[in-house]
Amino acid sequence: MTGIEIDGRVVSPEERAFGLSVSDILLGDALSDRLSNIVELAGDCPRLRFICVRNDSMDPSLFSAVVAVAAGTGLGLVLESADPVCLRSAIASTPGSTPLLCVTDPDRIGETAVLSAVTSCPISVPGSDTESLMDNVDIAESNGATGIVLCPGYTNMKDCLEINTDLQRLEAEHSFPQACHPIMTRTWSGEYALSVASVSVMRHGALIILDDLDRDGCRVLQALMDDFRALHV
Amino acid sequence: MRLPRTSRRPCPPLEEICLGCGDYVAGGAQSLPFLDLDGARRRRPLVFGQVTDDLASYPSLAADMFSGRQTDPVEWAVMWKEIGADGVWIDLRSGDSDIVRRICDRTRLPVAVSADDEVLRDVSDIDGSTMILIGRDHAYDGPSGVHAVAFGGETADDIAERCSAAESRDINSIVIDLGGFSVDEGVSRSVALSEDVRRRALSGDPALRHPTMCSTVHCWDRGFPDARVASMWEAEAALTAMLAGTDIVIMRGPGAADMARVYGEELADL
Repeated sequence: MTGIEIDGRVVSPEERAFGLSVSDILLGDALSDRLSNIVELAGDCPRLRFICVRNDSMDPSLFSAVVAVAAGTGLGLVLESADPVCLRSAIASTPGSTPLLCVTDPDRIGETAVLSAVTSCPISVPGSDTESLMDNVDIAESNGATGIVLCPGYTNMKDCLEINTDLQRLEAEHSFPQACHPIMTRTWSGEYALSVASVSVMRHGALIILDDLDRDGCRVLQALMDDFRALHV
Repeated sequence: MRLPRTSRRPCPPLEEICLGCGDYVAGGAQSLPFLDLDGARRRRPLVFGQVTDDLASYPSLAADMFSGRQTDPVEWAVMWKEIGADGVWIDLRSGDSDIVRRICDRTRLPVAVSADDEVLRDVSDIDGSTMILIGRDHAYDGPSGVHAVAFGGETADDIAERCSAAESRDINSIVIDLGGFSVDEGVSRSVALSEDVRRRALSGDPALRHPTMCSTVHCWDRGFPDARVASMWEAEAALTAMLAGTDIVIMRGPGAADMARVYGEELADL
C-alpha cells in the first residue's frame, strides 16, 4: 500500500500517525487551551502529527477562524465537515497548506472531490461498509480527487477488525484499485477509543483520528505505532 | 460495485482442551482470530488472573488492588473468581502443593501452575480438575497425570520440535507457551511468534495444533506511577495477544483483566 502526503506529512501503514480533534464551537481561552494541550502532547508523542478541526457549528466563518488558529500550531490539519462549502472556506483561511478534507455526508463526496482537485488537498472517503466505501471511492476518483484516504464507518472494534482486513485483502490479494489507498480510522475518546485505535494499528490502519485521548493513552498509542509490525492478513 | 471474494474457508478446528472441571475450553480455532469473514468460531480467549505465594517479588502497585486478600493465595484466587476471571495462574514459590489443591477446591476454576519440577510432580497427583503444568526455567518433563503441560520456545520451529518430542511421551495434552506480551519493542517478536504458530497450525502442522497461552504480567514492571496507567498498558498488551491468536492470557491487574475479557467478548461477537 502506498502512502499519502497530508499537509506535508507522509502517512502509510508503515509510517503511522494520529491526530486529536478540536471543535469549532470552542472560543477564546477554551480554544487556545485545547490547542496548547494537543501541541504539548505532540511534543511527548511524535506520531501525534495532526489536529482535526470539527465543523460542529456548521458555520463557514467560525470554522475558518478556528482552522486558521489551528494552522498556527505547526501540526498537520484534518478538516471535518458535512458541508463542502465550509471546507472550501476553511482551506482559503490557510494558504499554502494541503489539509485532509473529511466530508461526513456521503452524498456530498462528488462536490468534495472536485474541491480536492482544485485545491490539491487529499480527501477522506467515508463508507458504512466495504461495498459502499468502494462505490464512494469510485465517485471521488471520477471527480478528480487529488489523493484518497479510506474512512470506513465503524461502530465498534469488531467492525474495525473485519473491514480493515477486508480492505487489506482486496488490495493485497486482488489489487482492487479502489482499495489501494491508506486506511483512516475515526474514533471517539477514552480507553475504548484507544482499543479501536489499537485494532486499527494492528490491522493495516495508517491514520487514526480520535476525539480525545489523555497523555497516558497517547503514549500507549505511540508505543504501539512505533513497535507493531504485522505478518499476515 | 461487485467486489472480489476475500473470505477464506475455515480449516478443521485445531486441538482444544477442557480445563478445570471440564466447563472451560481453550483452543479449537479454525481461522485467523475473530474474523467472521473467515467463519471464526465465536469463542473468546480465556483470561487467567495471577496469584503468587511470594509477595516479595510482586509489585505493591498491583497488590494494593486486592484489598488485603493477596496475603492468602486461596483468598486471592477466590477474589479472581468473584471479579470474573476464567482461571487462575499460580506462581508457586514456596513448594506447598496443598495451596494448589485448596485453590482448585475453593474456586473450581481452571488452574495453571508454575513451580519447580518436584513440586509439579506432587501437583500432578491432584485430580478432579484439569490444570496446566508449567516448569520453572525449563519445560516440565515429569509425570503429568490428567493435566496439560506447557512447552515454549524462541521460534515456531523450536516449539514444534518440543511439542513433537512431548507427544512421543505419555502426556495427556499440550499447551504452547508463547511467553510474555507487552507494548514495547518486543511486541513485534511476540506477535510474529504467535501469528506464525497459528498460521502453521491452520496450514496443517500437527506439532503446533495445540492451544496457546501467554502472559502480560510483566507490563507492570515498567514502573508506572499508578495502577490505572499500568492497567491500560496491560489491557492493550492483552488485546495485542488476542488479536495475534493467543487462546489463554495470564494477567496481573483486575481492571486490565476485565477490559481484556470485554474486548474478547466483543471481538468474538458474543
